[in-house]
Amino acid sequence: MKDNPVFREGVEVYFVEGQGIPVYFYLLVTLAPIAFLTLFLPSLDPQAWTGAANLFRVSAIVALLLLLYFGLRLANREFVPWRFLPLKHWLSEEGVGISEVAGAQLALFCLHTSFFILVAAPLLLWAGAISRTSLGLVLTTLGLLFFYSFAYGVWGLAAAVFWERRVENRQVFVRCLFFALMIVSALVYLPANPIGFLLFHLGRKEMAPFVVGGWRWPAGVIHAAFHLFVFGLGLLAYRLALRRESSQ
Amino acid sequence: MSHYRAKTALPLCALPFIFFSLSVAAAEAQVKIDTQVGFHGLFRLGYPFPLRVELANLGGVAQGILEVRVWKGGPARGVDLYPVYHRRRVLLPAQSRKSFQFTIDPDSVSRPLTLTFSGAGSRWSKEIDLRRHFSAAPLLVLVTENNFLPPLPVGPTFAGPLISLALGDLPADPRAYQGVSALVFYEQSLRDLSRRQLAALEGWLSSGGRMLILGSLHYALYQEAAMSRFLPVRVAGLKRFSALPDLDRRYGKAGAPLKDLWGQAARLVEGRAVLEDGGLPILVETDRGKGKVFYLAVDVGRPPLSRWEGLPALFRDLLASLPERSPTPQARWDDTVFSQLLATPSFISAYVPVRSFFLWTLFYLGGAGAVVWGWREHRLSRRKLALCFVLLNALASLGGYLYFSRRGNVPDGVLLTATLLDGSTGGYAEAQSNVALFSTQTRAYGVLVENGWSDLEALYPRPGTAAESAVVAEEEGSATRFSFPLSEWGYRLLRIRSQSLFPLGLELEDRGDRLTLRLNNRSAKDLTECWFVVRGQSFFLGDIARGSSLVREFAREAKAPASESQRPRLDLREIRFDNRLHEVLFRHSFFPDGQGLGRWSGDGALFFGWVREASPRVWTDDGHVLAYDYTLFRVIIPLDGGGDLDEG
Repeated sequence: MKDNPVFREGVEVYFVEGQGIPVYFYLLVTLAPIAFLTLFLPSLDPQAWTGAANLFRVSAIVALLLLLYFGLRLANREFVPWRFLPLKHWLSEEGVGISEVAGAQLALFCLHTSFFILVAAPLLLWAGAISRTSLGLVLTTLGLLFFYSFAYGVWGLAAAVFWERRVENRQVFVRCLFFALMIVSALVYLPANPIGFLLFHLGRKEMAPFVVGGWRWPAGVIHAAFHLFVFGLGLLAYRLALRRESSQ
Repeated sequence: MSHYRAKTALPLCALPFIFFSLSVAAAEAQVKIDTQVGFHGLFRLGYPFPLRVELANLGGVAQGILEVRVWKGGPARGVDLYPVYHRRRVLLPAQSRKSFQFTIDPDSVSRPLTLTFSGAGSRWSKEIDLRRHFSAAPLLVLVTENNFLPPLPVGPTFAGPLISLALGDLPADPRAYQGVSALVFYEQSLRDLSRRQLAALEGWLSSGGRMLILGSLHYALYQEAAMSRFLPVRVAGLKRFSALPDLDRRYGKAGAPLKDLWGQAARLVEGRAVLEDGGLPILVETDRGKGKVFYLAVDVGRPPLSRWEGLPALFRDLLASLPERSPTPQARWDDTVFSQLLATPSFISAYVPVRSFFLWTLFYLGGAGAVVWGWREHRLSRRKLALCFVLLNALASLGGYLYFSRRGNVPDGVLLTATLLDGSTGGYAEAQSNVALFSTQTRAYGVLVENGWSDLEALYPRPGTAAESAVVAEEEGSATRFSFPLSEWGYRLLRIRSQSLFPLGLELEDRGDRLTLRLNNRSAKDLTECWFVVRGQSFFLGDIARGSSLVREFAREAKAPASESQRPRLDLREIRFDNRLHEVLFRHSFFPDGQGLGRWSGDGALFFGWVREASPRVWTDDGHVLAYDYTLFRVIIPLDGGGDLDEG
């Protein structure tokens, strides 16, 4: 992967030049004050302990939303898009294969997601300690955040290829997709929604199984299947977009 | 040679025996579960009853847990269903039988009991359908060694079944007798009763049980120490009564009068002689707490009394239901009350590290900012800056986590017990202990309840799974341990009822224009912040130390109010206490407005005081749980009719 020119371009632009640093900054300056206010505001009330009780839950949900939002935008190349060479250059002129391009972009996105988690980890760990949440639960939450970010972020990659030259189109698409998936999953079956599932998971509550035509499916299985489906479909769309781009 | 052969043959002969023993010991345990529900298969519906479980081990040694699952709650109780597991740790030697007794109180008979023995890598279970075993009427239990006793003529007025029980079958738990209306002893030695069985009988009596001790010719049985605990007389010997005119007059309305009958010569020790002849008590009645003991000196199992026509009337009188006491107002204990307690800052000193969190965040953001600045300004090599960031992140993550998880003195849980003692006659008080256990961690908790409790209700506030709301009950000597899981920031409410001894003498004398109150604290505890409320006025009495007395006079109103609406009412919320939790419990739990107790009307006098350092009825042996215990003693004295009133 180090020799992959697409990957090296991404690392050069986002990390070496530091063009991706503002995104991590936005994440921190949004998450930190919300966590602080979650702790501080109830302390003005006689039931001061409610702030500590809810701290990790609130921080985890906020971190999830921020990771999904900024992850999609990063994958969609909404930050410094002019610094990147067009795909046509890599596919036609440099002779890089579709698989190599896909592998590079996915690896870069994986690196971004890992860095997001790394940056947010201290705040989430402190929140877990104050809320007396077990370390295992905190670590599984971090794992879930990585999973969701990756599953939804792949659609940003697909949109960036589909509408490479139409920035507004892909911006509208990823935002509509994000809200649609959040709302529809919550309306149809709450445990399928990442926020709903996280709340159930953190509250250690039992989720109602998914019942269709007499068949009962455990909530965890449906949740994992739904997100693997979203990820798989996004990967397929991404692949189709790359094929279309390479054939043009 | 033959001696040598015998010596070698002996070990060889022993080998199969040893092999057999080992194989039996090493054989897989096979356990058979037998049960007996209630008293000879019968119990009173809606009341606790004994359950005897016999485990027969047909295989090797087995060690495991015997569990009885009982369902509590349900729509009739207004709470969600939850299972209670009565658990006993068991060691079954090979080829052995062991018997265990439980007292269970299911809230519904529609769900079967499930018995399970888990051990030796296996599990045996049995379900019992309770619908074949209940009686709607109370039970009458007869304990006698006399196999020739004719059936007791209890008469048609007593609808319950009469059950003859062996002495060894008497339960050792007072709760098991709650469905029994009366226990009859006739010609029965109580020498073989265990201390626990005796204590159970005494506990049941003091909480409202009724015992009939029928005398017989074998008077020596009634001179035993165990029997003397219950007898209100001291039996000296036998006496021949030529006639018993009082008994005849009272019960033998028709038919020939009683003549020449044997009875016991006894001396009255306590209670009152309802009938006597020549100074000797024939029928004695005495109170034991809320219960009663009757003693009949004459022998009902032998002629002429066994054929006497007045016998059914006598038993009808002896077995008549005790007059219903007006129920004491119950303390309120639900989510609303608990929310009020939680809102009290002194309930739990929460660890809210606002400043520390702010400083750690500043440190982290500042450090990250410095790394970013260095990156942009190329102050250091990229590799070094990356390493700095990784170190900063590791330090912040690990250091902050350890700091926040170790600091603060927040306990794992808070146990609050609020007991309301309602004084009644005989120095007894009905105790309602309302318990709340609040958890800051996800873990299991164990709460110990002193033996002698008569009813326990465990409320689980949130709808959850059976595993989350399950309660495990285990006997531990003089207490019962109730274990249940709680999630972080979750809580569970319990309500426990029991009888307690609290001899406080209270006398109120109406002298026309003045009311005189005499208090004598004969208990072992001090009473603090005592108040007396009468006719719309409240009077602060201060502290009443143990062993001390207090006499106060209060002026009475000039004329009585014409109607109930004109009766003066006192708002009890005007009464203040130093302790904020005392106030919350007083206003929201012990005298809630919703039950009309917040405003005290003039038709009864009220005395209450907080018991200082009361003996805990509910406690925990977990050092990580903070425990609060508050006990309020109160007596409500009706003033209708006036005159002297004596409570305790």
